[in-house]
Amino acid sequence: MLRTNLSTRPFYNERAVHALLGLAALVVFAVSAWQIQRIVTLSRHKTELNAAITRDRNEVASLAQQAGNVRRGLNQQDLKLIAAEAREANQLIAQRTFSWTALFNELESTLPPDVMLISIHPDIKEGKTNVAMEIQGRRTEDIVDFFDRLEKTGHFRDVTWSQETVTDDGLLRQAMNAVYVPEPAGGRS
Amino acid sequence: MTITQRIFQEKRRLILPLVIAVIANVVAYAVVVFPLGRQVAAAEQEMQNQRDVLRRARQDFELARATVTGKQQADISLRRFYTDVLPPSSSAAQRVTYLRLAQLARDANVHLERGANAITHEKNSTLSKVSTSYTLSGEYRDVRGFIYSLETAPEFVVLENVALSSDQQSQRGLSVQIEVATYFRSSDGS
Repeated sequence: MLRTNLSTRPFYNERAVHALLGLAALVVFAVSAWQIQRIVTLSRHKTELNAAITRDRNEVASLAQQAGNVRRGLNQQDLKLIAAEAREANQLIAQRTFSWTALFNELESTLPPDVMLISIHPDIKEGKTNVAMEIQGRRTEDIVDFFDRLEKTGHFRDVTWSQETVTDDGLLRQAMNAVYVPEPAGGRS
Repeated sequence: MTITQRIFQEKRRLILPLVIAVIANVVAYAVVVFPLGRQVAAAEQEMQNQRDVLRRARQDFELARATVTGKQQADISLRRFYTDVLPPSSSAAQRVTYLRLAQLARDANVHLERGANAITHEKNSTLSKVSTSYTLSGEYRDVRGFIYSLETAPEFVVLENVALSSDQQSQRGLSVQIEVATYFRSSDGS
């Protein structure tokens, strides 16, 4: 049997080559289409973004100008004066609405039998009430007991004494301070 | 000539456009699509930044407007406080700390024994202060009743200090010194 290929142009599978070339053309076409679609989409998106940025910049400039106009219309001296007046008025209202009755109720329930309240002066500043008191007692133990009782109510803290004298009768007279946190209005049943 | 070379030779009219198309796609991606994608990403970031700037600008504008509104409201509230709540003049203020206190003391069954009155003007304030100190005497529960009626009275009176007076026990019971104050708008500050 003769096995030698005597043809000058040996056979190859031309249909397979065409199929491969067709497939490659299809892929190239698909990639080209994707790229074109991407360019269109990105260009459109970029245009929209640039338009939005320009719009926002214009709005920022406009708002800054309006805020500037509003502020220029305000007299800073007037503003400071009104702020100071409002602070003063709030301070006075806080002093006026301070309940002495509630304070006396608290003190009455905490004063030991041998301690007497001599004077009391609440000072309300920025929502904090400091109560300066003068008390008189027979023994140091009674006064310390009063301090403990005050703090146990939960309405007094930072109880400190600043001065102590002994009266002619041998009684201890002490100036003291405490931060008073009154029970909110309507807190008691 | 190998079979592959022969295929390229024979099909070059089909292969060449395909190769050109592939190169064109690569170039288009490198020159157009990729940079465009980067530009869009940068634009998105810039838009985000611009949105933050815009949000802050809106807040700033609202703050400026709120300052104006707040100033107007504070102004109205302060006028109302000065005219409706505080005594309108020094004589009205002294009526509060003199006549009204005497009435309250009488109603509470305590006795005003002696008093002192002073008008001061606070620095950097448009308000003047009428300070009155009284020594009063009465039973403890009556003194408490007087203090309660003072703090619930409609007049603007601030009880500033309460102290047992030096002669702690008077003939009428407890002797207490109180310091009260009221305020009025000075004529030069209105």
